[in-house]
Amino acid sequence: MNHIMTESAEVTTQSKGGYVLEVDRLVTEFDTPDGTLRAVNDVSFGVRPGETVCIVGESGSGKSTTMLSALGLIKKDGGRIAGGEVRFNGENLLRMSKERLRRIRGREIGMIFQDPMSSLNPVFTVGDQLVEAVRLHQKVNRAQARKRAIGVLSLVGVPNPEVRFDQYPHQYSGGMRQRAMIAMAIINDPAVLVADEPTTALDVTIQAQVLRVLAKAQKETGSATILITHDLGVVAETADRVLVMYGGRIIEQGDVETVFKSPKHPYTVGLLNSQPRIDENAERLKPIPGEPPNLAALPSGCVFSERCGLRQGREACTSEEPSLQETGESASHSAACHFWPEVRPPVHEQETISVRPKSVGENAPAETVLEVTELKKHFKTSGGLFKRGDKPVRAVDGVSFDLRSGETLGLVGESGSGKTTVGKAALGLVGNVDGTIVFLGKDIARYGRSHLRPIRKDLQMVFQDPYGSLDPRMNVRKIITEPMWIHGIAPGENGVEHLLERVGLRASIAERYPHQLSGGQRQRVGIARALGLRPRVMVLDEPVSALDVSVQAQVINLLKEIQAEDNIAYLFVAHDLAVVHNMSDRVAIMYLGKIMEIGDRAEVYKNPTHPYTQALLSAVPIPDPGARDGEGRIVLKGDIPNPSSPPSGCVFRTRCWKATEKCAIEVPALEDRLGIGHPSACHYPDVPQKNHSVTARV
Amino acid sequence: MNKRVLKSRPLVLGGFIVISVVMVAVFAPLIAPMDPNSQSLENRLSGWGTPGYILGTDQYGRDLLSRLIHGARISLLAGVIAVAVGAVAGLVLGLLSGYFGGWVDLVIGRIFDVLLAFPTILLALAIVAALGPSMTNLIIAIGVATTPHFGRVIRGAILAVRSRDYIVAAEAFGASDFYTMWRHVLPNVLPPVIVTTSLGIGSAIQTEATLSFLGLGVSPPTPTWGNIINDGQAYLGIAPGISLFAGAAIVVAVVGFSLFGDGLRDLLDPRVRK
Repeated sequence: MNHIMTESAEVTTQSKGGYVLEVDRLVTEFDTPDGTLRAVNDVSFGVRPGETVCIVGESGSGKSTTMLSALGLIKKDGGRIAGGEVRFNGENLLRMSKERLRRIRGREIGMIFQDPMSSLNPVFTVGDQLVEAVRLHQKVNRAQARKRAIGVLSLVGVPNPEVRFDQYPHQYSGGMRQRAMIAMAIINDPAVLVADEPTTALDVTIQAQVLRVLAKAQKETGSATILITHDLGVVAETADRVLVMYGGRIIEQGDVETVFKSPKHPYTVGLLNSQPRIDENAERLKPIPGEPPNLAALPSGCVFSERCGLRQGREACTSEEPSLQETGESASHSAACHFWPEVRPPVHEQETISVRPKSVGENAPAETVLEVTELKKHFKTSGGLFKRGDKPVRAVDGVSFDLRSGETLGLVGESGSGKTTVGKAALGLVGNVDGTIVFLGKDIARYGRSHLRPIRKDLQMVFQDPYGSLDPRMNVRKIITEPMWIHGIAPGENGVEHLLERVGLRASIAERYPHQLSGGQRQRVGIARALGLRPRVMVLDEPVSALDVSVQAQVINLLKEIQAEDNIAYLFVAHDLAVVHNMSDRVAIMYLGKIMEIGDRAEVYKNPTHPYTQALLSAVPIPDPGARDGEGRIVLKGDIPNPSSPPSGCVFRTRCWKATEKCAIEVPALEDRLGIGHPSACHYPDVPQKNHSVTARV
Repeated sequence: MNKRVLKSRPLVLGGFIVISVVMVAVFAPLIAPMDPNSQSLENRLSGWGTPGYILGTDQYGRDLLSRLIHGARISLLAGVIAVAVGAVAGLVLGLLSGYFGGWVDLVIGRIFDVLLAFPTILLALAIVAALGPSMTNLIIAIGVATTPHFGRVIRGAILAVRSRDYIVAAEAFGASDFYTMWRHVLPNVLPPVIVTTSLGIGSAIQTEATLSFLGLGVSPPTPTWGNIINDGQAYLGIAPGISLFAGAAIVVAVVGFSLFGDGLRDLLDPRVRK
């Protein structure tokens, strides 16, 4: 091993010791009908044993393509490596035989992907797949392999590993499957672990579990880890070093402290400023203008020049591409900006006392527009002609709240909490609900479609998926005018143009079709469509979760501006606690169809009294490496139960560290037991100390 | 758009064949060298290349080329009308089934299942046998036999479209069921319908030929590709050209429509579209 290392050191002068995997001037290209795209452009970096390197970037930054290319997996996607080397212990992976490469992948380099369902083979048991992974690379018999597999399963926190060994992937929950993937990646003690968005598909409490497992696995195996993510919180939580990618290039790199505290590339600063945080009260986020770059039409010179606030018309930015330069902030910190000394650190508004522009509650009390009481929706699963249906899924099980004009109520929950169903039901889009939904004095819960029609224009919705919410066969003008036409509202002269202007789009977009627009633009069109009807209430169903961080911040600001102008009531449905914190006046925390805690935003975030709220808030990774506190974090055990058979008594008790017998028998009412001003549904509420000592085990 | 049409080889080749077959059928009386039914017994069963009869003659001395050209009319007409019948019926049932779901879907789905349980030929055969052989009955038979194929495709497409947010959005801004179906669902399921139609015409031509070959189609002396093969069957040893050329005509037409359908599918797929 040793002499190989020295050999490679002779080949290149860059090998500054100790890299187990080193990417050197990698270039990857894709041939498309529109010409050649350079998805990875001259990327170089290395990882040392035991170190975690995070590659962070928005869509199209080339972060995943870099690693797929490095591991020789890019040909399947039609890509071509146009230059560079990838050395594993000094051996060039790009030049070796397929046979040798296969031996290294899986044995020496373990991989974890975003979607564990498609990465595990559904027709074999998890155990079989683990055993196969071992025996492919090591000469051991079945019994030994089985023993090893069970050992690894228990290492990654799969309960009852002996039983779980013989189960199929579909019998695992999402979080469990990701653990199985991690088990498979580390079972051969790899020297390098590559994880591509390993927690993106998971809920935040499950993400906290999986990140902890990943850290543990790395500690056990001593492997070098490369983690690809778009989430700055995950980066701050896990990374030793960070590579920031943009337009296929590394534009900044360095140790995690330096990159977060004193970044020297305007893009990194912009990214950090765009990210809403639960520990800050930024009234307006500071987004990066424009959209992530299109690889087919990159600007000349610096790839970031078109969106950069620092450029100020200087010629160097468009004429010459900046290379990575050492900044001296810390060892090996470098940034690719001509004017890096001028870059100011990200803004933190922790101390500013915010004044909301619309000052809810300060003037005359705002009018209550929507009042939902004891809302219930049980979905019956149809069993077919000869089968009886299973137990109904209790998507929403007794939810009450009210909504005043001009305010935002954030409805937060993990998957299966019923938050989306509540949002849709509030608009009368869900049939057969129990309870009342009073809109301006009228109970619309049992209105038929024809009764609802005249009210529809007051109740509008913005959807999560910017691809699915616009009819692909209509142009933007038709999409925006259609609802107005149905309600007999004349769009007026320049009506469409005016609406487009309000959502920050150029008038020329009116004649385009959805597939010609970016995700952010589509979302703006969806907002314009809803605005055209001048609604009183808008349900925003995860309106920014499909967008890149920089674009997400733009849309959040836009939604706030519109609310301030039109005094619309927002019901903001989301899973991202940081975004909800930034958007909402009040928040309601949902779990398994029930509200666990509801109250003023600042109150709930500062003094959460329900254990679930406490765990949820503690699980959110904060984009600040200084705030890393692994020990004080509450990591919930287990998974979210199946909503068709929720636990008796308190639905949260199966994951709660405080649960007693009483919790299994008696359903806790939503009330303010502590007298601190907001209610929660727990028999044993408390206001947590700053450093929470309760740590439930993974 | 135009560039992409011309770039797609299946589409160009298929389109060329389809247009040629249609032109031949439409202008049959002008193109055909002689009357397809005029007999010339002294020239019966002459092989291809015989002066005056490029492809030779059949057992009554009728010009094979002329018969094939006129046969294109019946084959194409049967194919197009039968598929049109099947497509409209399938579209209506598929729309009802996919959009409303529930028991409507259940009932229509079971009817489709029953129809699909029979091979197309057997089903068409049974219908013609029950109604008696004639051009109209032939078309009805093929139409009924193809309905469930369309219905299935459309139902699937609608289920996919239905769950999209723009359908929920339409409901949220107060559009009626009928409006939503007409304005948002139908235009988005048309591409698979068009493709299925084009592919269906190919197989309908085959079915028509099969039924005519079995003597259950159009009655003689009207030429169709199917009954020409049937005529030639008895003389395969002496004059193989009769069945061979008619078979070739069927193959070319079916391949043409299939290629055209494949090309259309690629063209209309929004994932491929730029």
